[in-house]
Amino acid sequence: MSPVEPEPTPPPDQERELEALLTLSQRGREKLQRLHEVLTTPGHYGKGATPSAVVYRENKLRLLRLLDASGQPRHGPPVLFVPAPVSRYFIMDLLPGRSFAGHVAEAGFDVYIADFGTPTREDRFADVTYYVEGLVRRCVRTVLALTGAPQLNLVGYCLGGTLALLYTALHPETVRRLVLLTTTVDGDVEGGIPWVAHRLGLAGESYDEPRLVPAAEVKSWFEMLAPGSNSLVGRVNDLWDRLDDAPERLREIRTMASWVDDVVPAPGRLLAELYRKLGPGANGLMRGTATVGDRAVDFSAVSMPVLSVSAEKDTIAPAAGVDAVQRIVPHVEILRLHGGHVGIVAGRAAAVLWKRTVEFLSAGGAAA
Amino acid sequence: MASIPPLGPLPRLVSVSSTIALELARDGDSLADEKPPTDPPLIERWLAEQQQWQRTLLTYFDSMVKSDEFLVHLGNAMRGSLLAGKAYPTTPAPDASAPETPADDKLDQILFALRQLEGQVQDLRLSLDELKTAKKPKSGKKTEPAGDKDPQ
Repeated sequence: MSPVEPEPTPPPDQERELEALLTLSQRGREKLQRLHEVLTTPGHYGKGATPSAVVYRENKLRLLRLLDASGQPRHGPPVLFVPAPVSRYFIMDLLPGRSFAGHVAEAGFDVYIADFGTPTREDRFADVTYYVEGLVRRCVRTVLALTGAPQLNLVGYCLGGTLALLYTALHPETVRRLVLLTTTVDGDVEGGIPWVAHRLGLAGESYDEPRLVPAAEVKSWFEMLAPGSNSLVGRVNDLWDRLDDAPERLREIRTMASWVDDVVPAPGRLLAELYRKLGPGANGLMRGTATVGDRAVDFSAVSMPVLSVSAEKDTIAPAAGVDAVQRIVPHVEILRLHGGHVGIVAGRAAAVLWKRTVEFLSAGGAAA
Repeated sequence: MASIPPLGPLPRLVSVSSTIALELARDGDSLADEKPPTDPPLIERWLAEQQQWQRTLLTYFDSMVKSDEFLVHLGNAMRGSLLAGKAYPTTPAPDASAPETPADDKLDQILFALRQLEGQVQDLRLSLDELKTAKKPKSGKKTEPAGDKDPQ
């Protein structure tokens, strides 16, 4: 008998299975290691990328003025970005090197961003008038007072574009050029957030006894439009698959997730009014019945140059409902881009939009 | 965030495997010169993999103990989101969505009315500034302070 017994060797089939299991185990472990690295590495998450100063505050709103590298404000023609009040402002200023507002500022404009903040319980009474004739109008007044310019350029994104369009129709003398990004104008075009919100109960939102619509509920409307994101299993599977990517790519995904998943509660009165006046069935923008407070909105007053941008793969604001603005503002320039609602503004191909926006804002002389 | 200290020397099995290889070479086994080095036996790789798992789990436990923020981020990841800085939005607990009392409702209405007043006061201030500016002789573009730096 030999003094050292050889180790029993598994049969070939069993060995192959164990090899496969080992590879699976290694892949799973490496994914978890990458996830740990991403979760523990500080990054540019949940805040604007460009240095800025707060030049006006009201309620939860902060008006940010972008600064140059030396911390000084620029003195070019003013541009005011108006994001949607149901999401965070920093999509306009996502990352160093991938900031729409930063790009416009680098082109020589004096850029401002309205950060509507996070509404709290008392803000559930805020309506369209509060936003258009209150917050947006006072932001414009502040910018004009700071710069001494008689007019500014307005850039509205999504629901922020709706507010910017309504404001411009009521106060056209203060707007030099208007850019509308993925802004739904035709509420009767099926698909998109108004229809999903309609089907999930927005029609029942009370104007007289509004509630603060929880962020999770607002998020559920967006999730309904993104297959796979409306179920826990779908989301977890998606993340698990993505963990094969390099940590740098995962950090980019995290930056975007920190915007997409960070919706804010919405004032119920604002949503109820938008739905009743502009939503499916009422379609006040297209039918010319829209009002802000007691004032009728007359789009013939929108005589300045207007650029409206839609996205081919937009599930939140379908391109047909966005491009319909041409029927109420005939001289509008329509630009339809490849990509989705967020991608055209802050994705890898967003440079097309940034370049065209700067060209549009610079046209006709830079002076405001 | 602080990281855990290194976990010490390589797994013992790897060292044993290297020692055996050296001994084989010393005994004059010329196979080592003719064939490229082969992977360690499957059993050794499984044991090494087990140790790697232990290290990975230890780094997670370490981060969980040291940072509450990591727990929030891990919770988000378990919901399929890489959202940073806050918890993934979830439906509030039943108590939180309970109907407000009339007193709460009145208080909120008053608070919001104050917010509207705040706006009107700002309008007044802006109008006064415009009047002051209109009275001053024009001397080129205005210079103004940058405002309060946004700490971001």
